[in-house]
Amino acid sequence: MDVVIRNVSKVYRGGVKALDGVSLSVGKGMFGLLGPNGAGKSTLLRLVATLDTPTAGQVTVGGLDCRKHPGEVRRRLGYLPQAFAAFRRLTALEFLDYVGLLKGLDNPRRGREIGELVEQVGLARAARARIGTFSGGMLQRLGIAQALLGSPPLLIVDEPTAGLDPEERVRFRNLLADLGQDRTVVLSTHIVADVERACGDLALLFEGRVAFQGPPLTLAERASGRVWEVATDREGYERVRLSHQVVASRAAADGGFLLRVVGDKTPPGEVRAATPTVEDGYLATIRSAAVDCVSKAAAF
Amino acid sequence: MRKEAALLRHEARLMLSWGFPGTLFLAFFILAVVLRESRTELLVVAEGIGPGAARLLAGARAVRVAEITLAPLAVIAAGHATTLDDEARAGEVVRSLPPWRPAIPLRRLAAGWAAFVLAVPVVPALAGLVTSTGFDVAPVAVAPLAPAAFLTGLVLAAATLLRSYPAGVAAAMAVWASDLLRPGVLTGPLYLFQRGNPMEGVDLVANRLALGLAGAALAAFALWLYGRQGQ
Repeated sequence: MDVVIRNVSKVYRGGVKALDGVSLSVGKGMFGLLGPNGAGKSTLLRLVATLDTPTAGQVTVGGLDCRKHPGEVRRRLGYLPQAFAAFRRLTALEFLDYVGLLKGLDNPRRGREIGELVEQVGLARAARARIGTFSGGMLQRLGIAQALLGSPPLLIVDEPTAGLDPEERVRFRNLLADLGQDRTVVLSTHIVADVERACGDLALLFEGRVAFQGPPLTLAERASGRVWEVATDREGYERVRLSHQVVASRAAADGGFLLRVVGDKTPPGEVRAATPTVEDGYLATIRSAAVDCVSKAAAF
Repeated sequence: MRKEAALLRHEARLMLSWGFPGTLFLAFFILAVVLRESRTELLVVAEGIGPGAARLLAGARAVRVAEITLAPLAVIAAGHATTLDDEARAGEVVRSLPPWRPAIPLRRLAAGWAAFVLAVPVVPALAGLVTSTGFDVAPVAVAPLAPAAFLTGLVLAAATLLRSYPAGVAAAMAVWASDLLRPGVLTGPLYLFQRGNPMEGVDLVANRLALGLAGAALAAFALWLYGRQGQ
């Protein structure tokens, strides 16, 4: 199920520009949408999920225009919003039955799918418990189960691993990767590791624009020649911090610091070039995009 | 058909909280107390004019109490049809599902009103039984329907517009309280309660019809607005 986003902009009341000329093409498999908070990721997903309409441009799902055929598009998608919540009074089984009915699933298929899904997401033991008693991880798993009901060919998940403990996060990420084998999964997150490990393709949004689209390794290559490991003292640390993006820092045995930094120039101190990771590429791209924004604002 | 029945069952489950039986019991309790306090008067009428007159007097008194106490029950049963999803923070999930959007609150409204209409006759029937005042239950059960329809429409419209069920309830209950204390002053020809004939020259039947139609129009506006929200 292809998702095509053509030159989409979204301006909210009050003139806040959430998206500015975004164009993306998403095919089968797992697609990551990366970006810092406020980059426009959730806005973009809400447009695809027909919960909002673009101010300009067009979003199509499987060739269907989201603005003209919202009902048809909704029949083809499963959506897990950021901060998913459900009716606390219902049990997981009752809620899934309710969603299944609204998705128009007939009785034998609905019951069978719900049974399979609660097993798949690991909620079988809690299926008859009220949703109000669920932990954050259980709620997210219920969220993915409702999104998967009816086997939609397009799955949209917005920050699904936020607030989960590391074990839950890995489990959830693996589940999404499995689902991406036979459908399109769009995963929005600001956790680079989730995208790096699960997605074959990604887009990086920054201030409502696409700063990068391609495979995770290509994003890592963007930081090639711009990542260093630096051994320095406290004074040097302060100097490096002003001119470079510090990715990691730890105290050294001699009282100094061992830093991993991203920047355009070689930092001062005892320096060694490092192999870039996807996170380095992410930070380098964000840094470049931010510098561009500042330069344009200054020129304006 | 089976799917629709299953959906109605779920919606009824979501719509009816403990506030529903609680208000129902309160309405019964107030009616029973009023009838109990009227017992001496009813006995005098029964002995002086006849038991038929006493039954009529008890019925008229029950109508006045029932329409005041039972109309708000509809607000509790059906008033959050359009705000239920947002109250549960499940609005985005529900709005991303395939059905025509207004169909969801419409079904909730139907479930809530069905519960209301089924529950209303129970109150006068039980109160009459407990106090041994054998009045005709039917007019007492019908009396709250028109003000309830208007209040339901009002709470739905205000709650949808302000995206807050408590705000909708506050608007509806303000009108209810105003008509209780100063009949017809705020509502004019759309007065809620029959007692005291608040509007000279406004026919009761016309008033009941107008209340029902105004309630339906307000509810239709709320459903239309719900369909447009989050698009």
